[in-house]
Amino acid sequence: MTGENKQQSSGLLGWLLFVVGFTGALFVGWVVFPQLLFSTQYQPINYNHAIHQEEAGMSCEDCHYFRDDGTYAGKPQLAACVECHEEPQGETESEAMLVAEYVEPEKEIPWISYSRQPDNVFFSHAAHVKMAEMECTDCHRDVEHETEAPPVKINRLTGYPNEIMKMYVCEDCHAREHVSNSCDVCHK
Amino acid sequence: MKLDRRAFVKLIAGGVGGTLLSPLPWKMADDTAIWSQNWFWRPSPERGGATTANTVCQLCSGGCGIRVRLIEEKRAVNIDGNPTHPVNQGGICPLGAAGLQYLYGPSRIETPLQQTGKRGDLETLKAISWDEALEILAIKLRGMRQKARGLVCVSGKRQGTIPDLFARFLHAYGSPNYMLMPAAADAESLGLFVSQGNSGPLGYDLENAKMVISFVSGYIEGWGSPNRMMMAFGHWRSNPKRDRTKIIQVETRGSLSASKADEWVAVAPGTEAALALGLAQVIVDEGRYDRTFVDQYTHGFDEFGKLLRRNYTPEEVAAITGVEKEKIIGLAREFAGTKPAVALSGWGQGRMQGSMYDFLAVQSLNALVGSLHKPGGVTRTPQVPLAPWPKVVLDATSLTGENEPRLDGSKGPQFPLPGQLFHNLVKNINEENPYPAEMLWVYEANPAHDLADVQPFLEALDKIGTLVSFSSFMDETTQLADLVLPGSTYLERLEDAPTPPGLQYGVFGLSQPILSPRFETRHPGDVLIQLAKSLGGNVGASFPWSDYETALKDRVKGLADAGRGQVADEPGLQPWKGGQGGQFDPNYDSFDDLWEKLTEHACWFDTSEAMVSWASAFTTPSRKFEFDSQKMRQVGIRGNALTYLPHFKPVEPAGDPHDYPLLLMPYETMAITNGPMANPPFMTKMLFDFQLKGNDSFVEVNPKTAASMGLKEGDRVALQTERGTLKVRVHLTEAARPDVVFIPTGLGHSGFDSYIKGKGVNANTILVAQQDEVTGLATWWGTRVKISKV
Repeated sequence: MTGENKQQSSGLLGWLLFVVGFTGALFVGWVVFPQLLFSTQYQPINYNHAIHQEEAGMSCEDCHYFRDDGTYAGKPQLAACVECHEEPQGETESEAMLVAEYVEPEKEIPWISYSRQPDNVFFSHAAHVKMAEMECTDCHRDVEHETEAPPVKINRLTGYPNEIMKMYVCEDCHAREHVSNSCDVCHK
Repeated sequence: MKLDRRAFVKLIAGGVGGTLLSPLPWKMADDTAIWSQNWFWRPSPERGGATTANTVCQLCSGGCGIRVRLIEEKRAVNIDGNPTHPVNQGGICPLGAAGLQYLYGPSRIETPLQQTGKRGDLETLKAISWDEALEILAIKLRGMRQKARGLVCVSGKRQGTIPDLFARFLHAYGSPNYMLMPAAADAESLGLFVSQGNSGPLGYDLENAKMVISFVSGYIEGWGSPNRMMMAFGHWRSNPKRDRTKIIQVETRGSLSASKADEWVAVAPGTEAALALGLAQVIVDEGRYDRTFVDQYTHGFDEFGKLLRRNYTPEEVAAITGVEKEKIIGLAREFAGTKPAVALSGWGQGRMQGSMYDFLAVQSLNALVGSLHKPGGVTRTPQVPLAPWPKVVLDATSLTGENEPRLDGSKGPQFPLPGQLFHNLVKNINEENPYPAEMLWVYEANPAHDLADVQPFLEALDKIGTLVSFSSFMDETTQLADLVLPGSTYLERLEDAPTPPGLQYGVFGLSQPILSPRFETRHPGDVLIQLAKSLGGNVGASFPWSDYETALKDRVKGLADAGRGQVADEPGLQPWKGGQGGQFDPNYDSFDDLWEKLTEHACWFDTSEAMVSWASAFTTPSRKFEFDSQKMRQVGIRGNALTYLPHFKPVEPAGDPHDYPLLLMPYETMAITNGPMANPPFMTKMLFDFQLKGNDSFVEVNPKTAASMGLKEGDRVALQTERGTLKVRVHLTEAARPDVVFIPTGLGHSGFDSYIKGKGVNANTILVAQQDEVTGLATWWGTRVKISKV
């Protein structure tokens, strides 16, 4: 091999290695990193949204309601479950667990939130749902036909779920809807 | 093929390029920021449903209704004013709004403590159990029963069932030494005793007044019930222009009250009473007084008139006060010509005792224009019809105790009037005259910081066998205690809130335990009941209740039985408009119903006895208002003719004018709390940087005075009086007269916690209190001072 060839082949190898490094980093960044960053957690009870609506004829607001003072209650308390589930309703494993582990010992179910905004944001459901008349599904997944509670991805570093809304999403919508984007609208 | 340096660099470059085009660095940067917001010491609001609990603030005697916002009924997150409470009408002061900083602040005492080493050494204050603490105290009390009179109790709260339980304990135990922290109410109560035959407190019908002359009362700076005064001020100012209430502020300093008044009358220091008598002289001389009242319901008017003509003509008063003669005449005519008009007394926030004669001078103005017990004038705060407790059970020791001389010398040969003479108490403890103080209890008071002229008190502690504190906080007095029995705070305990000072209608507020105690603290009432029971005998028998709640309910039954007043349950109640047409008739039908409504709304009020008639108002020997006091003669006060009449008694401030060329006057502001609580951090934030900068306090100096001394804004100076020296900085202001400098009280704590202590200096350490030789009351409005640059 001549010296020129040597140089060429090492140049080729160099570019090959560049591509390896580049694609490898892309792979790590896009595929491996998210796997590492988020832990997968499962709800304490496999809640079936569909059955509550279709068979029990309940509406969303029966559990996800606004309190009298206008604040949003979010996830229901055990008391709401107890209204129907004082005795097991059916023979599923989840049902037995609900009654044995939570209803009877009167222990709140530690539901894991799919979307919980960080403390430095003041988010009012009332302003968005009642005043701006937005649909729940504009921000949250549609649970209407959901028969299984999907696992929750929790960010290992921040402790928040992966569905938290980033600031640019808020700002985009506020800008589109001609709502103020002043800092103190959200950061009180 | 060989991996050389260049190839390796390309691998890395590719890796960097790929990483930058992936979410990894950006997501990490963002998440790291969020992570840093969740470090465990960063506060995070409690999540959950909010509820509101109504209760009454106990941070001062103002008796304001407050609403506390609770999350999941376990974490208080906000306090605001309760709009249904007639006293504050939804208003809240900075102290009340900062109340949660006391509840959750680090200066709370968590368990009973016993001093195992030297007094004041916080390292040797050891936590003990309640059983141990009560046992220690019970053993000591049993041991000193033969010297029962040596038990002294000082309460910072003047009224209410808990102070009543303390007084009851002392009575049953056999000590006459139940004491109150000094206040203007002491002068007021003596003044009323000698002129009207009873002890008040006074209620001013300010909402209905058309003219108010305030003699150094900080009417919007914490005098009376602070929020009620703010509301009254708003009420005066919201009247239509032609009908608006005129406010005159008589005060040496250009205070906030002075600046918000229609007129500020800047008198020479300490001469307010002379001005009041000057106005009285014009009113009498020109025949502008209320003849019906003066002729039928006063005694000694002629003697008073003679004294006025002799000593207080406009010329003479102008010379004393520095107020122009024409102004004095004009003010007097306006005061007599405006109906109704009322004169206020009580220096600043009402924490200085002041002089009974100053009080009498101001009240004589109210008497002359017939503003006593009249709408728009001043009356006695109506008695709330609480049921009395069973009589205290006395044994031989407590019967002896009833007749023992009080350690403060009141009702004694030197000071025959029934006063509260705290400064004299301190003097007598130091001199062990006529007997030593064996034990001192301190409840809702912090004399080691708050007492003006505090040094003698600190010295007196050496003469006191045992110091017991009932405080919830590590204040300066509690730091010196031998035994600490920490009380639960006002948000954690049941307590009544009696009619606040200066109010013209009766109020009974109910503070409730809206949270369970955060620490091992107990209700002081329960502690006393338990202590009494463990002492047994007549003391135990005097406390027949199982707990404080039972004792309180026994009293409240009186309200239900009287069938008067109503529970305040709607916004906008204006009891000062009277209860015509059954508007304020009872809205409860039994004790249980009343108690339930009280726990929900926290306030009962009554308008039915707002004003007493002139015919029944006075219980003096003459059954009249006595300008010339027979009561004083009756109790054995000897003096000249002047002694029994309202007169101006100049006080010569302590210090040789040659050595101390200027006069130092303390002042009070709403932004700095006085009283047992230290300024919470929220309030300290409100101070201007010419009141507190870093940890430096300021003294207000007139620019001309400063120029003559070569002082500039912000210069550091030493303030030296006979009592000591404080280092402060200079603030130049026209609000200060050239010959007087002013310093705020309430700063300079050394107790509590790192967020509170070390802010500014404590003016009380260099003030000199001076005693009136007739009443024994102390005054400290002025002390001579020397300023030198440091």
